[in-house]
Amino acid sequence: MEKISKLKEKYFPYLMCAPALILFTVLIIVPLLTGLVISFFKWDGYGAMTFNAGENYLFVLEDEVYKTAIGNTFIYAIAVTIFKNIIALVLAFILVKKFPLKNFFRSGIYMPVMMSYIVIGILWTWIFNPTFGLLNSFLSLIGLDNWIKGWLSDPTCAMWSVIAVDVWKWIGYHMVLYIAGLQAISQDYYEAAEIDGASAWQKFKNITIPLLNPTIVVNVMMSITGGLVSNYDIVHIMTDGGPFHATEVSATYIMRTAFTYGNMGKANAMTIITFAIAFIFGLIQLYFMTRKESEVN
Amino acid sequence: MKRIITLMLTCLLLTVLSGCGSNVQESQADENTLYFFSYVLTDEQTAAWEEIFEDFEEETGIKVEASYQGTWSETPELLNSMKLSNTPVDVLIQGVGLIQSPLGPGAMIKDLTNLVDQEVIDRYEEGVLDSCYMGDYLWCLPMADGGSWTIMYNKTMFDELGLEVPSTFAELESVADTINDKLGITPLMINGKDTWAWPGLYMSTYGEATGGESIANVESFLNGDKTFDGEAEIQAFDWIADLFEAGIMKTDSFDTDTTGLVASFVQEKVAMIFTLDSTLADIRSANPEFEYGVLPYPIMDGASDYYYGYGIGDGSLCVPAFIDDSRLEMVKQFLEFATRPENATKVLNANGATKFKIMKDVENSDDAFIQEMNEVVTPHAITYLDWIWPAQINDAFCQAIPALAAGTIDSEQAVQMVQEAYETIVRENDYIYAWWDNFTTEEAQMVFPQN
Amino acid sequence: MASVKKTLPKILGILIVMVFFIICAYPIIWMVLCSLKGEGEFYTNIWGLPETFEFNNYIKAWQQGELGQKFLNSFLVTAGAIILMIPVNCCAAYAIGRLKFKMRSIIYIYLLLGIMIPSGVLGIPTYQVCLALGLNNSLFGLILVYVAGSIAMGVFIMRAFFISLPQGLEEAAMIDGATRFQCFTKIILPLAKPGIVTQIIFSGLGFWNEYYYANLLLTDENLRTLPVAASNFMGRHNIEYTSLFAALVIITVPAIIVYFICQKSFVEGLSAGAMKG
Repeated sequence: MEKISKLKEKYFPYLMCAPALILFTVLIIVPLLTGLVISFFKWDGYGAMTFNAGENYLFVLEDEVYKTAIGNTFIYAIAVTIFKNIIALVLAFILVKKFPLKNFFRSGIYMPVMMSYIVIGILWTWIFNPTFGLLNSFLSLIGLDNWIKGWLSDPTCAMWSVIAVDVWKWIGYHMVLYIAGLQAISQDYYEAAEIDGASAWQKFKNITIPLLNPTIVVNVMMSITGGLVSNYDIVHIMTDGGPFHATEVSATYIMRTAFTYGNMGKANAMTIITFAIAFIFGLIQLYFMTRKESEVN
Repeated sequence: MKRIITLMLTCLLLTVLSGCGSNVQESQADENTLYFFSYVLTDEQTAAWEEIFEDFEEETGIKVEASYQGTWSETPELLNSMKLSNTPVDVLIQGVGLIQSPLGPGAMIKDLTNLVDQEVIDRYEEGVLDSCYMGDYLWCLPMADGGSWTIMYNKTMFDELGLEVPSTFAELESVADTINDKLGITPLMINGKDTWAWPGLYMSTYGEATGGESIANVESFLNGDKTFDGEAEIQAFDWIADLFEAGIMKTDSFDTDTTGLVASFVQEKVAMIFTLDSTLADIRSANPEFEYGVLPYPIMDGASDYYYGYGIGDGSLCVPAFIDDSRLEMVKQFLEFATRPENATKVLNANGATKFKIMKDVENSDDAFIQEMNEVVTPHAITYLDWIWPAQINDAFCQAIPALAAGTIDSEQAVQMVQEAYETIVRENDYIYAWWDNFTTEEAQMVFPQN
Repeated sequence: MASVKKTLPKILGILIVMVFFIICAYPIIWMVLCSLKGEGEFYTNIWGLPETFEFNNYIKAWQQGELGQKFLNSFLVTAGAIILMIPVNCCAAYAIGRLKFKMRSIIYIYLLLGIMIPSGVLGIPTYQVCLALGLNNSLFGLILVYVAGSIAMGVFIMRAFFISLPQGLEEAAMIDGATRFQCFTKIILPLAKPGIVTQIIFSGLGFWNEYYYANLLLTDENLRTLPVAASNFMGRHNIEYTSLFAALVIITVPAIIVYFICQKSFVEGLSAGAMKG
């Protein structure tokens, strides 16, 4: 009897993980491995496949556009993470305190999260439109005529316009998570600190940030991986990589290579490389974050 | 107890997971049903097809089961998924562009040469089927209007400013100067945010630079017989750059999409637009009173005639390569039936009469504007080059032309980009222009009907 | 002087919130207004109020797109995926977060791989797997694909909640004779409610708006979901903007309603719960 229950104890964790492991393996890892196999073939997605022994990886490494895309992907992921988290944190600080109609404002800021990419694409293309767009009209209204530019066509700022839209879409979500995290911090800490005569900055540094850490970990992780690998929709609807690859990220280039250029082998090779880069990056990030976490504990 | 429940729950999930493996619905194609697939058409077109299906069933006893899904560009992927899942499809609607790449080279489309009798061929206007033949094989039968690039201008604005219709570059330049001076708006605009629009300009300038021999030139380039850095190629790029240098076009073209182009035009914020004629419907629905005309593409210094890119063969009937040969008789019957003038007219003219004359006994539009277009544009039409060159080459143009217009690169670098794109696909994709001669034995067996 | 120091940040705060509120909330109003415009107004009256309110757009979109059936499909898929996702992710996250076993960190890192996979190009391989399992052309198949896609992030979030709960919780209960699994369902899970709500709001919205796999996996007209139906208003050459926007409003409104219903318990639940570091 004792033995059986011990056995059960031993396998219990595995049983708990089994459904997730099975689903994940079958529908995520198997396709990824299929992709890995495809990356060693010359294949247009339709006809016969020819083995080309890693030549696809060579093509990817020679590809200047892909290098640009990877560079852009990192700029994108880092910028998006910084802006989303800082703006969301600021808004959360304001809206967690006493504020007139605060639920109303919170909901308003949350709205873009719920909008589909089709609307976002049409809306922002028209806001950025050079002829009748809201942004340029607004700038000329307040007398900033020399700020007027092709927001999506000027290679120097197109990337930032796309990043702005991504940040705009997700700040509401991160704000809500931060509000929740801030509310969870007991007021007692602050009162105690006030008695000790701590300044606002000291309170922020020594109480808020450490206690908010789990929330920050979740938020940063979400925005950075989102920026690295799931930025296809937003870049695709805004610029699809243009002008002259200035906003090309790895996701858009992979999709174009696969479905427009009909080069499945190379596209899958790029997927694997992108995955590997994101994986290493993710591990480093995870290492530092969990280390912090345990320090706090 | 609870542990048992956990176990059971896990098992349940497992069985559900594996259980659904067994209920694979092997879709069996019915002998007496023809399966028709298309991207989502307009309501009127769908209704027209349904009518044809009913009549077809009445005449032959063959039922037609139709499904419409996705946008036109998603068809290759969807067709591939139907192939993998054995979903029956006998006839589909697709355009020449996607047949040229990826459907044709991917051995997804059947050669129709022996499935279509001369009688059916004769129903089409002279030249209409030209782009449907690739390498002497017929791949599809057009069932939709053609389209073309054109420059439209705001008639009211031109009249008010007392402007003459320009036909040479110098004349266009002086028209643009007047518009710049008097109204301060952009004279000519293109929907450059949709990068596919840029090659449209090149089709016109390259036509002028080669004296109308652009197709032959591109074909020999794609065959590897010549490199893409001759005088004409560079000249054609130079002539696009000239439009920007002369102040005729401006950078606002870069972030204007089709909708923005139409909106700018009807709001009178631009005097002329370089566009596909399909925007006509949008312009009309935006403002029915708006008055506009068609301009010839300006003849550049040193050129003798002007050209516009155009194409018939979008929305054509074609046959998937993977269907069983036993179904070909039925398909043949259907192709013959659908292209009868009295039936074809329903689809062709579902959304108003066609601009181009597609079939001999099907009326095309007598609309005044379209007549004007048929005078100005049609006699100078050359098949879209992006229906001939593959996507990567087209993409090189899509990147090179705006870069050239923005002054980031010069024409020599632009032709170099195109040439490099070609070399890349030869190396990476084993690109061969004459894909119809390069099937494997198995593929050839699917593509070419075995009698 | 002191009052200036106190009111200035307050005014600044109000200003910041107002600016973000306007740029975030305005698009919803704009979308609704657009859905009520006449066809031509899309080009001539982009930012203004509709000249006449065309409520017919909705009827037209509903009938033409047969949105009733699609609405139901979308609902079934979203609800089904959420119902399946919660136990799958929570069980795994609980084991990884609070149980000690040999493969723990390996399983965790393995599942976390999912966050780092650029998924787009894997559409065709995923389709092939679904085909082999007979999951194509069924809502259940789509549900499984969605759930699989949510595991990485879901486990990551839930694990964070579980490990932040005090260590002694289960031991106390187990002394009282509860089994491990009872501890999980009766004690731990209720405390992890905020994490569950986060998942529902985050992934649920993704399921509701998902287009790519819905379009690829479901070929049967009667099984299609709302985003696929909406995209059908964007034709080969012309976009039917009025119908498209009406359809998009129809898609967005339920999400907003659910958000408003959940909003209070969402934020409160999140903060009342485990996020205490």
